[in-house]
Amino acid sequence: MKEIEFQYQSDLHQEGEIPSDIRTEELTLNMGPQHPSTHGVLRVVLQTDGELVLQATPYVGYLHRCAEKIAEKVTYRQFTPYTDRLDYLAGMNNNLGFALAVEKLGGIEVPARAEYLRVIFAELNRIASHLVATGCYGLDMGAFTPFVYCFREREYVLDLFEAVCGARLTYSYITIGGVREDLPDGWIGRCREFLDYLGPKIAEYNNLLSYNHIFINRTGNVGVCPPDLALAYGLTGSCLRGSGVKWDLRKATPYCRYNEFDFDIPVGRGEKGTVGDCWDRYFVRIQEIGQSVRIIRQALDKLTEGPTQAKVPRAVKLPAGEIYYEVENPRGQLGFYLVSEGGTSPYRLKIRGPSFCNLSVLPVVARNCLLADVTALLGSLDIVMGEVDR
Amino acid sequence: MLERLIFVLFALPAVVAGVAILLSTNIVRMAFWLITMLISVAGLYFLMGAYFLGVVQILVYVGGVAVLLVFGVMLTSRQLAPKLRPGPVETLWLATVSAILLLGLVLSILRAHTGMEPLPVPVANSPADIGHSLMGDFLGPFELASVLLLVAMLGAAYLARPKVPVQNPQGSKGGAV
Amino acid sequence: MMYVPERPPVEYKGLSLAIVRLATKWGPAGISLLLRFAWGVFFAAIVVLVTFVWAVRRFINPLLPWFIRDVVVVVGLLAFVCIVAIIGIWGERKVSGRIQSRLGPMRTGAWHGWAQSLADGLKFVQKEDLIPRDADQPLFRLAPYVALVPAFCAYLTIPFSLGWVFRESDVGLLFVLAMLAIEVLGVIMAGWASNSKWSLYGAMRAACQLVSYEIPMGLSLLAVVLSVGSLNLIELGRAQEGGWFSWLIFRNPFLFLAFFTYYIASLASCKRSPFDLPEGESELVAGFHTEYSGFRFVMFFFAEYVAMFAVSALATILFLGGWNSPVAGLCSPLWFVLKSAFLVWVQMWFRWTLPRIRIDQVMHACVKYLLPLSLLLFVGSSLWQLYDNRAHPAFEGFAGLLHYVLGGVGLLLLGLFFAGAGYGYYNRNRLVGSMVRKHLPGA
Repeated sequence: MKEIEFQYQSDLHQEGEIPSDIRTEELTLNMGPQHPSTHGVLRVVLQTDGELVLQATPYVGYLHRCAEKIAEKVTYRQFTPYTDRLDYLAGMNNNLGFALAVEKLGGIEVPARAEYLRVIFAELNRIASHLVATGCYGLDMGAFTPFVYCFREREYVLDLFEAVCGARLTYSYITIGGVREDLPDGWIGRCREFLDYLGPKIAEYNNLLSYNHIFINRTGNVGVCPPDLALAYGLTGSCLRGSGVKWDLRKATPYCRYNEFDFDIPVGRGEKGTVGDCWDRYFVRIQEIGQSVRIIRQALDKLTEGPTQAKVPRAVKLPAGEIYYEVENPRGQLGFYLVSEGGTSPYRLKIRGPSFCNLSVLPVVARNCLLADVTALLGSLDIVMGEVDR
Repeated sequence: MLERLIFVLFALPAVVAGVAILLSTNIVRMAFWLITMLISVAGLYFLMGAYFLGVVQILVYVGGVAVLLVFGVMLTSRQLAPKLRPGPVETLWLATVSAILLLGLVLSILRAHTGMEPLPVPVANSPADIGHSLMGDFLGPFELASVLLLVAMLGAAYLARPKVPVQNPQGSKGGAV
Repeated sequence: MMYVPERPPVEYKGLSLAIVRLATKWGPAGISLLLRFAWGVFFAAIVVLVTFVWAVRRFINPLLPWFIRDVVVVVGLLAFVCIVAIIGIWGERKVSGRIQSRLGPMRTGAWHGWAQSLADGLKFVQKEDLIPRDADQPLFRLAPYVALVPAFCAYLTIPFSLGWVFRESDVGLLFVLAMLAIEVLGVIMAGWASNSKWSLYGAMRAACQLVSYEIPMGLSLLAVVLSVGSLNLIELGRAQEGGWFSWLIFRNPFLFLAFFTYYIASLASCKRSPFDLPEGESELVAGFHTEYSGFRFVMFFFAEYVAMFAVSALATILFLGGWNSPVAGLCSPLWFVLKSAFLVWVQMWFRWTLPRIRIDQVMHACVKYLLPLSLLLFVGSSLWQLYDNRAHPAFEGFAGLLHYVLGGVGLLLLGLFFAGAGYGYYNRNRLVGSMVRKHLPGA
């Protein structure tokens, strides 16, 4: 461990002479794999001087489950449940990414109804995932009530999911060729009811948490990630948009009929501090919930009749070739790099987890911030260890 | 009779704590023995009828000074239980000087009082009377004490001035960035 | 089929048999009757208790030696403190539940889980007594008591009504503050003795915060003391015997602000949210009492609620009229308990609404905002006192007018509170959203 020396601010012009009134000691702190605010099994080793963090080193791998190696042994259809468990808060989006990658490589056409249903469920899952992020961020900051409110809203989303596919967290609903089942009766009415209910709630969260002075003091001007740093470290998703870069895959390289929908890309503007601080990243997520509600309403209007699945053989065999396909996950750009040698299972499947790249900026941004700010930073990056470790 | 009992109840912990401070080798334990002694002395003040002084003793000494002392001890100790043991030569010097001082103290007490009867408690000890005395007869020491506090605050502010890590690698060994 | 061993039948004899026969004959009817009139029984019990204490004091007290009276009062205070803590913990869980759109404890004890605290206490008592191996053993064991005992001792000089005080003292107010200051040591001891860096951090932050916020607390209280001229809590209560407008909070605008300064500083002194960084759950697991489990943890928990009630009691006596009712003339310990309980209730709202403030912001707020403000209020109040007398009739008239204006503002705030509560209650279905009151739409 290198020694870090100090100089008093008023004596900065004198070089080589370091006054020794008080020598403080550095403390190595372990925010261990078990910690209430590391959002999963993440270990961060902090070197602090009092309350000031000098170095933050994340250690990952506690949730590694060899997903990519398993992909080489199972068939394409059999791998869909494994994609659920990558970013377990956004199962539908993971399914979507994998299904799109396979369909692109295999040249499979998906019917229109299935595509609209895919959009609806991906956006519903985006709402659920952002609700978790918002609630847990409030909880990290010590506001217990928004946590319960957000999870209450999320319950309705999970009930909608359960009605259609029987599962609350690991859906495997979006499969290769379309979606697995059609909507039950009355589902669309319930979905519209939920969307009408959610609209005023976003204003309530803003009143309770976003514009709360204490919250702004905790998160504004904290963990500032300038746009060039964000691009250099490969940040994507809300973290990138919170730093001011207007980049969303749904608008830049539209997939799955996203170009037919009318929605905005919220971008951090540094309202309560500097551009790219924790508050910006958090507020981008709140605004994205509203945008997702818009998209779902348009998709429900555009929903056509028809089959929900293309005629794909039971044993999916892809031609030889390789493809890298990215989709916009709630946490960033989830990418699947698929190399096929013409068999029923891939030769190599590499998954680009957005949380992995988002987490990599932690050592740079956490330098010279206070201990309590590390929690704010981790919460604003919104990482899910399932995606980091795979 | 009850007064004697309560006196012993407060004086015994004070003496025991005082001796324990001297004999202890753990600096954190020393701090907490000091706190025990301060609280016992406050009890003695209550017994003598000086309620205001006793309460201020607890509020300022225990709640302020002792807390800061414990704070400093906790922050600057390297291990959990640092040992403080003087060497043999130091012990001899300390014993000699302490014995001389103690002898002088005991002799002066014995010369001032001939018996062991408690003196009558002075009547003027309510907060109003203390306030009048502070602003009247004892104004000089009062102002001196405030000047002392001001100096202490200035010293603390100077010692705690902000510092930044050395950024440039020139003139320092292996600066880390 | 699971093998269930047969139990021998129980045979009752003698008195037990009589009790069982009585219970089975009249038990079910009796219990349902009791539950039907439960509220009546509850209030009747309170009235009987108050009457009993009054009778004892009036007729029996002069006959007994003083130490019996002391022992009885101390035991009574202990019981009151325990009940305050138990009801406080239960109330916190119910209030937090309702704020978070859920119900809180509902099962233990048939009515809204009132026995939840008792069940929790039993659970904690039978837990394994864990002490970390490298912890400082004597300090670790001593810390919970150093936190709890001073909090209880603070009640020794707090009067619940005229004559309802253990020891009336000329320095009663300072005594309460001194006892609350000792509690800091318990927190530091706990954090240090746990031999864990996380607990140490919690203890350091706690010490910083608690000691710093004692100053604005004391200064705000001293502003009131200056306007009455005595540190005696009974005198301070007696000065507010004239009904709503005689309460010290309305005496001059500086004292009005001093109430809020004191309240905020007392929140920080009790380590309550938004100043609950010492026990910051999501950052330091549980702060300075991370390593404590079982009964020792209960001591810390109790100490927090006891201190909460004690600082609210101080605020009630000094600012809100103590045991005097808003109508001149009536005074009763029930008013005192009611007002203090209301202030504790408001403390609970703060906890479940606001996020946590970071430690440097906490110190910043104390030294840069609260401390100068309380100094200003102190000086302002004393200057007001200087001019508010017969020698300056113009100012005296203005001060009297302002006095009644402040009283009106207070009435307005109280009315707004009730209006807001009523509005929220009547529109509760609309405000919470259309889907919450129906069944969750499920498969």
